[in-house]
Amino acid sequence: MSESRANDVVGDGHIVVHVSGRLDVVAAKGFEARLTAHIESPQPLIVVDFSDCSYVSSAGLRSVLIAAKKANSADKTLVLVGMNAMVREVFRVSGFDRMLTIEPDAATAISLR
Amino acid sequence: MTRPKTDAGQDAVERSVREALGKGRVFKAYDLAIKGLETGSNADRLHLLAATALVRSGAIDAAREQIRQATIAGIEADAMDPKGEDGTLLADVFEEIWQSDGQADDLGRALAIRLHRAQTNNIFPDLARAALLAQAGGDRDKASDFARAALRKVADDPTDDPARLLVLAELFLLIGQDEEAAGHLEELARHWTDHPLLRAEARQRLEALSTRGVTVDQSLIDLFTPPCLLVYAGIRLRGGPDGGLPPALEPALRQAIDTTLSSLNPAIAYGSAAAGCDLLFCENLLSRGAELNVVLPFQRDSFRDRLVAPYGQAWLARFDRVVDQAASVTEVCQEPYVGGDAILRFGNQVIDGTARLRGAVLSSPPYLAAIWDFLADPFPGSPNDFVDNWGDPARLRLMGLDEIADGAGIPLPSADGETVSIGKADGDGDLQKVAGLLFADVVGFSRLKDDELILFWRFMRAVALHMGADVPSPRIIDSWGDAILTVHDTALESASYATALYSAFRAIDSRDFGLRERLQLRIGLHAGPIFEGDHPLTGQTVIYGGNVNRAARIEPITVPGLAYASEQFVAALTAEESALEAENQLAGGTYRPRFRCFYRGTVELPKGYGTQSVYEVKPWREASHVPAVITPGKHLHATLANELYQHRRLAALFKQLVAPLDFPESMVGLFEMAFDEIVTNICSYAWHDRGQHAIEVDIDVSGDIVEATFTDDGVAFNPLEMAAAPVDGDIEERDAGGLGIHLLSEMMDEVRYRRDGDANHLTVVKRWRD
Repeated sequence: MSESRANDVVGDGHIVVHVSGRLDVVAAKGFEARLTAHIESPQPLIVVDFSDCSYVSSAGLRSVLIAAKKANSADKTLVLVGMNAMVREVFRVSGFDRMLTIEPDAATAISLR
Repeated sequence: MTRPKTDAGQDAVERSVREALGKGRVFKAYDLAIKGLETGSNADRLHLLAATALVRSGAIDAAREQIRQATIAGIEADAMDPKGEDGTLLADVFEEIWQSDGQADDLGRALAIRLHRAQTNNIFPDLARAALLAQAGGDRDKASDFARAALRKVADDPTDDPARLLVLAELFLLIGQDEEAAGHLEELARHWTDHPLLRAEARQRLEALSTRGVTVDQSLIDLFTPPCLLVYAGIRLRGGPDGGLPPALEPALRQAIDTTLSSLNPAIAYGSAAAGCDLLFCENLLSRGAELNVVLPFQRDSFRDRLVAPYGQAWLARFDRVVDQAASVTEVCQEPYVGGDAILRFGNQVIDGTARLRGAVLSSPPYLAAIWDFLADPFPGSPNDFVDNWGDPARLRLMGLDEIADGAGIPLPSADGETVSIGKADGDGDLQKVAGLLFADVVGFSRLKDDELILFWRFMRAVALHMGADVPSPRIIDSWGDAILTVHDTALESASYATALYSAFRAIDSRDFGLRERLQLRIGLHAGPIFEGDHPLTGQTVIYGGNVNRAARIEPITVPGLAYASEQFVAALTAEESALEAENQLAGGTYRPRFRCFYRGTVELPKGYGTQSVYEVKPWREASHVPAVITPGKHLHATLANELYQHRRLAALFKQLVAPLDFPESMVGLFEMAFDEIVTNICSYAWHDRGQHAIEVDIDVSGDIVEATFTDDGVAFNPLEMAAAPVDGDIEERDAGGLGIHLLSEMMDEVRYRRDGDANHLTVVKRWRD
């Protein structure tokens, strides 16, 4: 099995969560569970890095939305970074880009905290 | 590539692995091969033998990994050495993987090796395999060339094995010499009269040839008609002088049984052996030379004491004779009877399920023949209980006790209905309940240090979140470290829980939580009566009993990543699903089984628990095996199962469709996403029964336009009428409903819906280049 995926990284005060491949209906449930468990951890900033993600479907959007609500109520900051043009377009068409924080990359998100 | 010389020790290891494989002990074979690999050389051969064991245990991915390691060790070059043994082994492994996984690549690899060997060696076995594999791969010319070459060489390779007749018949069929084939098959049918399993294999192989486009006359397939499989259930009667059935009634009962069995002509039968009607069935079956499989709900001596002796001394001798002559005697629980009726119903379930499993292998669903009193209560373990839960009304032969008694001119005897007759609980202890048991542990857990253990629990939290609320909650769940024990009321619930655990472990990578290894799960499943009580020290509910110990011993032998179950579990699961089918049929609905069980061999359990047959339990995925038809650049037709991951399969097929066009990568992604939304939508709304259904997909590329139509036979549902999702509002107000259709309309040029008869048609159109 080829192993090119990036694992999530726990840093000082933040966690970078990597989305790899497609965030489709199959992957969404695992992604949501993983993201929620990270949100429940002590780190105040959660960065979701889409740079290895080819596309996000509506099920993927739904899992991001649920996680964003959980982050809100836990007083955590959730920032989305590294989107390709297609992923960016899906967030725009759905109106999600107006209610979520989107930055170009993880370094920017961490430096702005 | 230099290969280490084999020494006597390595030869012994290899021999023992092959011996275990030959006996169907695949887990043992795997363990031996892995141990051999740890101690030294001859790695490639052992990797291949380990791969063979893994394929047969259902672990296809793990088998591929073993092959990869063997290939690293240099076996690929070696495979083309026509005299080398590793090549045959490699070809066989690829062929077995192809047979269980259906991927053309694997068939191609097996075929390449076989063709090379056939051309170089020019001997019968290689030529015959090459011909049959070429046919399976769709190369008819090569298939008939090699078949002719093989038939020319057959005299050089004599054998007494009747299986050769089948191979020769197959080769003759490949070259259209049907009469020669018929001659060989008729001779084979005579050899295999008493070998139902071999007959089934012959039938399946001929049917496979026929589905792959070889003309095979039905009369040839019919030479290997599956044997009739019977389950019998007899009512226990009282009224005779020494407690058993009235002697005057016995001839009439025997006559009724003989008439029914003569019309069915059963070759194989399953049932119990209580005094009275059960034993009359057994005696009749033995006198016909049928293969009688006696299944006792509990320990044999205890059964004899409880269900034979009280009905008169004469029955004891008859019981002993039947048990002595039976082809097999199985104790569902290897424990004495301790009261209660749970174990009796469970015994019936295991009889039902075991017969169905055997029937599935032989392509012959079982019949139920029962002597019953239709007015009697369906108390657990009675024929009425059996009849009520029988899933297949077309395969039911009922003999009414009232008619039989009437015909004999004697009054209707009383059925020995009460379970009291075989005793209340002997002590005043806990009562047995039937349960589905699951034991799980995490491979590698004991290697985790404290710093990783903190992360482990965060990972397990994600696993729990993934499993969510819709898995059946266990009646009891207990955990110690990484070990989990759950108790459910049914095998079906345990199987669902196991599936949910596995999909969580597959979906979530422990390395994302900072763990060094990707953790894997082992699950063992078992079912049977257990005791439940309160622990005197902790006050918490505890379960105990022989079946708990047995369940705990199945789990350590399993290969990670797959759910293995005992024969009892699988029989109970099969019977439960068949009962649900019966129930749904009565209510006018349909229920399709959710799980499939594959026999994976036997294992020796530790600590004197004897051997145990082991099955793999898998969610059913039927439609995914229907091959797609692709004309590259033009048309694609595929049948998808109504399962969420199937859009990925469609995406892969779509790539093959557009391969000859210079389709931009981003456009492929756009279609993948559209297919995802459509298939997800259909899976979520079209059917309400959780059964298996098919989605037919047709995609046409004409010029610059791609048009894809999805057809399903679910309830009428026009997704375009779904309320459009509002795209404004802040996080707390938004819900994500309707988003998929919104995205789909944005991505495609046109989305159309049409209801036609009982079918939904959803069509999307998109111009892929300007």
